[in-house]
Amino acid sequence: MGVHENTYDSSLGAYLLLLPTLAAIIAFLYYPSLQTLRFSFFQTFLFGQNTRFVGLTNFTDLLGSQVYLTSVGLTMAFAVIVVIGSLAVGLLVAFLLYEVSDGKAAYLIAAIWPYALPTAVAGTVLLFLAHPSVGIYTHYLEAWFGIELDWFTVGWQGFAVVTVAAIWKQVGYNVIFMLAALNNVPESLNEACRLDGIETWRRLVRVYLPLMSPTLVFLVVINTIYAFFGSFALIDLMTQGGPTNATNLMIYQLYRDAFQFNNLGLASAQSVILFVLVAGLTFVQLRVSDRYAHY
Amino acid sequence: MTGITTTDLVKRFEDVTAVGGVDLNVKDGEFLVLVGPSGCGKSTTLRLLAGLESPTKGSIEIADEVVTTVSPAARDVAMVFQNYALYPHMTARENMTFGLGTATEFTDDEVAERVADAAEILDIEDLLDRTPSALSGGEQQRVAIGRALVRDPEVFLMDEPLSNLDAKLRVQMRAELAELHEQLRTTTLYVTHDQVEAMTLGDRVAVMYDGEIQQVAPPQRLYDAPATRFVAEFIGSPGMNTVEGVLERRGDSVHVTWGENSVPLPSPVSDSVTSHAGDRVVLGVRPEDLSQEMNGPLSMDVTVTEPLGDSLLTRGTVGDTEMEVSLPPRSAVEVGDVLSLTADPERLHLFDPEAGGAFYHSAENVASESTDQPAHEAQWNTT
Repeated sequence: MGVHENTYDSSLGAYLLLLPTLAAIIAFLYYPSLQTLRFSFFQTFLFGQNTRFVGLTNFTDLLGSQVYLTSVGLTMAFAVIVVIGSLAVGLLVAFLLYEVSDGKAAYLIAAIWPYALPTAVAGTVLLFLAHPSVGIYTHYLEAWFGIELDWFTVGWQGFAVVTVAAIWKQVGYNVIFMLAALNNVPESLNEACRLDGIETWRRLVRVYLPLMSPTLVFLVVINTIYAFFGSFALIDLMTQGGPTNATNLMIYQLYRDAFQFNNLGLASAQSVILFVLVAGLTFVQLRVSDRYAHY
Repeated sequence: MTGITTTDLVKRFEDVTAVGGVDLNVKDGEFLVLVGPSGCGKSTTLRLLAGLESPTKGSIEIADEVVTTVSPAARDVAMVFQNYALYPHMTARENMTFGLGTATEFTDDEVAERVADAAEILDIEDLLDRTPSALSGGEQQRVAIGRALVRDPEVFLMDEPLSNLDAKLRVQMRAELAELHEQLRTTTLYVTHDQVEAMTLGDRVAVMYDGEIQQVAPPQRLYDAPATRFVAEFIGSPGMNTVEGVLERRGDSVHVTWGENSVPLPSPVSDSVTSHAGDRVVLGVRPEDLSQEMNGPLSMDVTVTEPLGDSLLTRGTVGDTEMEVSLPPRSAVEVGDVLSLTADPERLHLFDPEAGGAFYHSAENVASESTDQPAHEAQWNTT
């Protein structure tokens, strides 16, 4: 012990060792964040070369804008559906994978494949597969079930397609973590269940879910962040926020204001709102789940 | 009748035979201990009975019903695991009742009553609302036993339930288990690697080695008349000395001789033993049946002394063979000494050097069956 204590007796040495990490974090994380916060109080012209301080105007403008408020509501709905959907489907798939004994590896690869695809590739592929006029999915939906999907023009259909795509993309990630959590359940507990004749679903709900709760808390947080930020590429490739703003999520609105309308100040203000929203949600989730998760 | 009978039970994992043809019969209300070294197949046998593994071959009967392919839950057995297998997120009470939740034959009142009864028997009434993490190892094991009790099964299966407890608690729980069985008289199969546990708990003890049952007998009989060389060396602490020698006839008496050492068998010796004269045999004698004697027939070069308090365990070489002798405490023996020893003529055993089966116990002074037969079969029905 004594030797180790003496090795780093000056705090200067410690800071020196931290310097590379601190430098990288400050340059690429804190500085841009602070810049964003600063920009949110300015109106910008000419790609941000000319700026004018406007105080909280950006924020008041946003909160007074019907388009923006609709986007916030839409994002909330999208996030709730994606988080619940991807967790539920992920749990189902993970549980089936856990229970199956033959061909486990093949099923696992199939289940996590979508996650391994870059979002841009996944979006492009889905766009083709589900294209209203030439897509193979839409063709058979119409041929077999008589359902005519026109999600390029019907708002809720566009929203539904993007939501399903976002869930599909995230399920693989959840499956990996959930399967890992399931595999951590001691084998003797499974055997105790078998001896007690606990039915499959009761076993999942009463035994596995509580034991998986730390992983589930983690996944709720990660999936929330994904729903708010990670869905950008899918929207951009598949709907561009349309039809009629039906898929205009906050992250997409932000992108448009920043890079299509060159309104960096307004976009920065949206960044701040988005950040506060997600940070707040994450905080609440962790607080609430602390009470229910068994660590 | 709620006994257990297995017939030619075989379990192979790929090319490993874990259980190689076990015929076991646990009588109604009996506490039978299955003991053996690690990897001998005893736990696999228990798991086959529980239904957690399915046999490659053979059949299992519990309470006169063939359950070989019946699901674990339908066998009406309760198992106690080495690591307790309690649900960590449930209280002790929930752990005990969770398995009952599916059995519709109990009302809530009955369930509560059963838990109260079990808790009283096990003295865990104050612990029922705690989760396992707030319980000590011994308390957790009581809850695990309580979980088995509330189900009121036909059969208890216990898989090394005391192995995770510290030495003192293990002795205490051992006594409590014996008491519990005295009270309940539920047919119990208990697996352990600890031969002391086996001897103290079992009405009968089955010794298993290499996937096969070597001998099933009451503890004292196991100790006094081991059916095989393996049982002789495994049972007892320390186990029996075994030494390879030649059976020699000298006039009327018969000796086992190796090197300069020679142990006479008490007369008269039956013909079935004398017929082996000139053959190689394995002589077995327990450390406590050897003693110091002036000009005794055995001479030991002492290599290690282990004072155990109530005795002085002394190890050394007799001829070329390692042997142990249990001497009175405070004997003046030091490493490097040469001891002159004699063996209690009433406590000698002879084993076949190849098959390992016993064919002579001097205490009985009668030959058991022929040595050609594998020992575990020869001894099968002697219990």
